[in-house]
Amino acid sequence: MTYPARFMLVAAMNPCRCGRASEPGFACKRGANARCAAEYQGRLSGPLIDRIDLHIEVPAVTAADLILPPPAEGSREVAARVARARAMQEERYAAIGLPQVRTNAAAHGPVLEEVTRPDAGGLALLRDAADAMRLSARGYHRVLRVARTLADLDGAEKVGRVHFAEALSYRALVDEVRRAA
Amino acid sequence: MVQRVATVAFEGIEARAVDVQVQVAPGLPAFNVVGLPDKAVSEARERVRAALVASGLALPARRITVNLAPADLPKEGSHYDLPIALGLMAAIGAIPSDALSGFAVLGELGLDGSIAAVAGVLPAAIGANARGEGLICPAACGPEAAWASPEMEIVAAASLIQLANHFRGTQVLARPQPKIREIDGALVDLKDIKGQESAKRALEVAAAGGHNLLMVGPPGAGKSMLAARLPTILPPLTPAELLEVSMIASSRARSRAARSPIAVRSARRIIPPACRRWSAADCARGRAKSRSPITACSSSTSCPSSSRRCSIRCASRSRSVRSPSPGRTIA
Repeated sequence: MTYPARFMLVAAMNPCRCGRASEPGFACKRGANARCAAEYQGRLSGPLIDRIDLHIEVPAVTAADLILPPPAEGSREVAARVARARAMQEERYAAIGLPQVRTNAAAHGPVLEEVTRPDAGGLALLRDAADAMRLSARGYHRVLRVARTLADLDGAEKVGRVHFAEALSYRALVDEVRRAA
Repeated sequence: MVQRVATVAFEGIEARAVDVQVQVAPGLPAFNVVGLPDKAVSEARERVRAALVASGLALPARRITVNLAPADLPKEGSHYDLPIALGLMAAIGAIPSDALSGFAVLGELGLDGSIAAVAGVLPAAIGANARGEGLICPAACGPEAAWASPEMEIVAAASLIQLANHFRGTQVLARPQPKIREIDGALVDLKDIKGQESAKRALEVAAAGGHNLLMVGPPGAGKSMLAARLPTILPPLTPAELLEVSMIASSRARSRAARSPIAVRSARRIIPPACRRWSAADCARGRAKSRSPITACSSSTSCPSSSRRCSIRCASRSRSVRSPSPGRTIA
């Protein structure tokens, strides 16, 4: 018995047991902040972390932010951009004969490399970053995938240096955790 | 004389044809249901008896045997009440005996003869349409069934008496019109979040490319708030996806569904209670496979709490669940 079940995983976690490790000036009673955080974040296994394309840090909101009026941009505007990017992806994968691939996340190795041809600047950045960040093969493809999405959001055909830079920034946290652990 | 009524049994979102055979034979008065009925189906006897009495009919003082064929397929759910009752009514001549041919029947009976809504009417209607049959279903589910096909014959009745009148031709019921359920509950919006601009950007990227996202931050930073707003920025469901989601939810879902389990320790916390169905029969048949527990998802199709069935199986009495989706699991 099978059910259709395509999903997107959105996970949230605290940086450490008490959740305050990233707070400036906080001294943990359990010892060094970094060690507690590393222990805590190490509970997520490497192979699992590797499968998550985007890693971000969400800092605490300051009171100054809360006093501000609500942002002008709401879900409707963002949804319009998302829909445009998704339409681009569908069109692209349909054009190369893969109508079952609807999003960049579903695209695999060779297809991904074909649709994500970096320009000269992008290539140089990617090469340096792959060395410096010791990207795994999977990690490398994840970066390509995210960069492709970023270019789609910009409406760009070519994936540029700026897209790779942002894609790599979503990857930085993984390496931080790995080093700490 | 055996009266036959077609109905369905659900296997996932597939509706398998089931034949309800009703025999009223001479002998000591009895009312038996055979053919691997579960508890809800066995209790149908009492509901059918009461509903027939409320509709002005009495069970004949003879030996009544109801067989649900194929007899080796487990039958679950309350939707067998109506086919059993209609089969009996046809057997005792309360409705014409040929009235039910060419119809698949499903619905739950109340003690007063009313027909209550059941889950899975849409897959049943699609299955019946594929076999070239019409559908008799509860009035509340009529609009849902009407999605299956515009040509298909659908009778959606609110009570047994309405159905009897329909078949006699004294008060013919109109075909229900397809309808979409209104969204209930307040909608959330990305506007609710102040600050966190970079996190919003990441959420947008995740939505645009279908990427997985991990947020790390102190408690109260707004991670869950951000995650809850993801469905509002995803594009609307395509017709094919809508059908898939509706089949699972039997038209109870209209948008992309989000599950948000907090502090997950076990699979039981992730799976909505209505979806938990540890079937001993499944274990015995050894079809169960275990993988790591699945986790929070926000997807085009996800298991909705309204659906009574889910692909969660007990694997050798452990708490693991099986998810048919590819990889991406979390403990």
